[in-house]
Order: sequence, then C-alpha cells, then structure tokens
Amino acid sequence: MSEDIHEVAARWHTAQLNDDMDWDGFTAWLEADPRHRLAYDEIALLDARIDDVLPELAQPIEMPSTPARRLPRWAIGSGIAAAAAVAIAVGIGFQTSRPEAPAAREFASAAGSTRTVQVADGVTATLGAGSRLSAAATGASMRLHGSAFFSIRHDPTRSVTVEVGGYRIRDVGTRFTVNAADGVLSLSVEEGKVALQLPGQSTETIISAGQEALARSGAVSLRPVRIASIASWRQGRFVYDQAPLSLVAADIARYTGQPVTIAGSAASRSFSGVLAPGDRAAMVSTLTQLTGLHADSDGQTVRLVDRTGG
Amino acid sequence: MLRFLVARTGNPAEAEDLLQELWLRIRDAAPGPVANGRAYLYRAAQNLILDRLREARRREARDKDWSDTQAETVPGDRVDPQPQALDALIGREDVEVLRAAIAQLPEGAGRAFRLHKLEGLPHAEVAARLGISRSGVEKHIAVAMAHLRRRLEN
Repeated sequence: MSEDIHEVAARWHTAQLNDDMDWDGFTAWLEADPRHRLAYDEIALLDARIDDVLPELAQPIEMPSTPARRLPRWAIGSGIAAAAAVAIAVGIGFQTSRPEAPAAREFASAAGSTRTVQVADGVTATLGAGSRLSAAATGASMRLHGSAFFSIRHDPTRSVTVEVGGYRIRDVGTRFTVNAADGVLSLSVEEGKVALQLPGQSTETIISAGQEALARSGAVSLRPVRIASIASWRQGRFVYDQAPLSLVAADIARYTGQPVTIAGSAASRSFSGVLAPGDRAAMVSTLTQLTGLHADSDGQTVRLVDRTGG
Repeated sequence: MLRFLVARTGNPAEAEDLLQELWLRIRDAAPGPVANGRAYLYRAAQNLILDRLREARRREARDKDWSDTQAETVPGDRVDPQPQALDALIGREDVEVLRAAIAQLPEGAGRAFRLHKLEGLPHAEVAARLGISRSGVEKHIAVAMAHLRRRLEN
C-alpha cells in the first residue's frame, strides 16, 4: 500500500487547482500519518521541477516530420476520432503520437490557464488565459491576441516585434507584459526598454523599466508601475491599479472563456483592486461589488453597465 | 489555517512563522478583496511552503557540490551562489530525463498528463477531449505523477 501514498498525494495536489478543493480533508489526511506530508512534498517538488522546464518539455522532439500526425492546433479536437481511426487501421497504438507539435508556430492558452512557450531562442512568452500568439517566421513580427508576458534576451543582432490590436511593440532585450482589448492597450516594462508605435502613427514612444504605458484613441500616457504587480496573473490573481475597465472585462472573458462586455461610459472608467481567478459569475460579482456597476446577462453575454448613467 | 500549516510542515514553529509571512505577503500584494478568499489563502500558503522547500533543497545541493568540489577549488573560488544559474544548469540536463520518463507513462495517464501539463488545458477540457469525467482526469494525472516519481527516484 505504501506506493499508493504518492498517488493519493498527487490526487490532492492536482485537486487544489479546483475551487471546490476540500482543504479540511487535505489537512486531515496530512495529520493522519507523517509519511503523507513527505510524500506530498515529493510530489509538489516533482511538479515544480516539471514546471521549471515546461517550455523545453512542451517542444516536440527533433525528428523527421510526419505530416499525417502534425495536425494544426485547431484540428486537434475534431481530429482525435480521425487519428484514432487511422491508428487502428494501420495497427499502431495511439500512444505513438508525440506531445502535440506547435504546428505553424501558433500558440494558444485555454481559458482558465496560462501557458509558457519558447517562441524562439532567447524569447519566451507566458500567455494569459484565453490568449493566442502566432510567430510566422524567425525575424517576422509576432501577432498577439489577448495578454502575454514576454522575456527577451538581449541580442544586438535582432529586434523582436509584437503586433497587438494595431499597436506595434519593438524591443531589443527586456521583460514586459502587454494586454490589449477594444483598442485599449496596457504595456508594463519590468526590465530594459521597449518602443511602442500606435495604430496609424509612425513615431514611437519609449517605455522604460518600471513604467506602464496606457494607450487609447491615438494617445499614450506613461506612469510608474510597481514591478511586483506586473503580469500578476502569472501568480494566480489579477491585480489592477487604475486599469481601464475594458481591459478588466477582457481579462475575465478570456480567463473564463465566456463573453463579458462593457458598454458606454463604464468602458472608460478605471478600476483598482484584486480579482481572484474563478468562474465568470464569481469574478463579475466581485467586480460589480467593487465598482458599483450592474451586470446584465442574456444567458450568453454578461454586459457591465453603469446604472447611474454617469 | 494554522492547523493546516502545522499539518503541512510538521513543524509548529515554522507554521507560526509561515502564517506571519503569509499575512505580510497578502497585505502587500492585495489592496482589495478577493473572491473565494479561502482557496486563495490556502493556495498562497502552498506556494510559500513550496518556495521554502525548494530553497532548502537547493541549499542542500549547493552544500553538497561545495564539499564535492572543494578539493580542486582554489581559495577564493566559490560555488555559484545564484540559484537561477544552478537551476538553469540542472534544467538543461533535466529536460531529457523528464521527457524520457513522460514517454513511458501508461497510455491513459500519459495522455491526460500531457494534455493538462504540457498543453496547459484545464481538467474540464481534458475531460471533454478524452470523454471521461473530471475526477477521472485527476485520477489519471495522479497516476502519472506517481509513476514519474517512481521512475525518477534513482
């Protein structure tokens, strides 16, 4: 039975991602036997060890390409049945399909989770929930939908460009996070400098470490930002300091995978506070309590409106 | 919360200390209320404990490296004190070891593990793709973790 302790420990470990995790039950299990705690430590350390090398691990093994198995990302869901049928027909097991290759250099994160990918040598991106990044070819600019934290090693021979919602971000070696929705962009720089070009403009604004740029309607403003709260979603919460509510609504929509819109004057209001990741109802409820906004739902889309008309 | 921390660390003094640090961190990090505060608090505690555990293991590893290499080092030479540098070094070697171990997981467990861990899909989505329940997915992932641990033990 002793080998099962680790499996039970791993069950508890994986269950803690759920909001309905039974923390009292977990405490009781830990108290029942000191070996439980040690087994849990081992599992937690192993999981962290895997997380440490996740970008490399998620990369496909270098092998001659087998086009039949290299499905584009969008085809994976519908392709499972087809792939299984093929496997049976040729008499080989399904387990021969390798960890899915990031075909066409398109990376996507699911709702409710972030994903770290190595885009190129020295370029790592952590995608916020429900975000997408495509990198067509080395040297070309990357296109982002949603939010991401980039870490780019300085290399004088190249410049990395990210396009998001019509904005262009050029960088030579830095760490920064970007979030864009509905024409509004927020960009915070943790280290180094980046150059931001607004849609339809040719001049660039330089943003340095410790600064946040907020851009909308053809104008950009800079202000200081706390380094510790940059891309706070990587630590499992959304921290906002005077953030446009349209970006907050977009974060909730991407995180939950369900539409949340914000209408009228409310969109340009700003918000300060912390949202814990959760389901849409919980996140919207916290937001409405903190802002006084009202949430209208038609069963599909939640619309946040300012009832006071102000 | 204290009871959980004692159970989790097996050390009442460390638990008290952790509780202090937890409050400090939360006060500094969160200027507003948080939905589902209880789960948030427990997860924050888990992260804190894991950080300390890893730091302790790193220190052990460094001390060991130090004594292993001391014979050949000249005075003034030190083992790199930067945990990141050490981690990066271990990381490169570790990728292949982990990759090999993951490749040998039992089929169902391996598939669930890869979709969740490597592809980053939430449990519910893995469940939908594999046509099994969420708790089935969690069971698979737990089996995978236990397998990996056994394989990597040596």
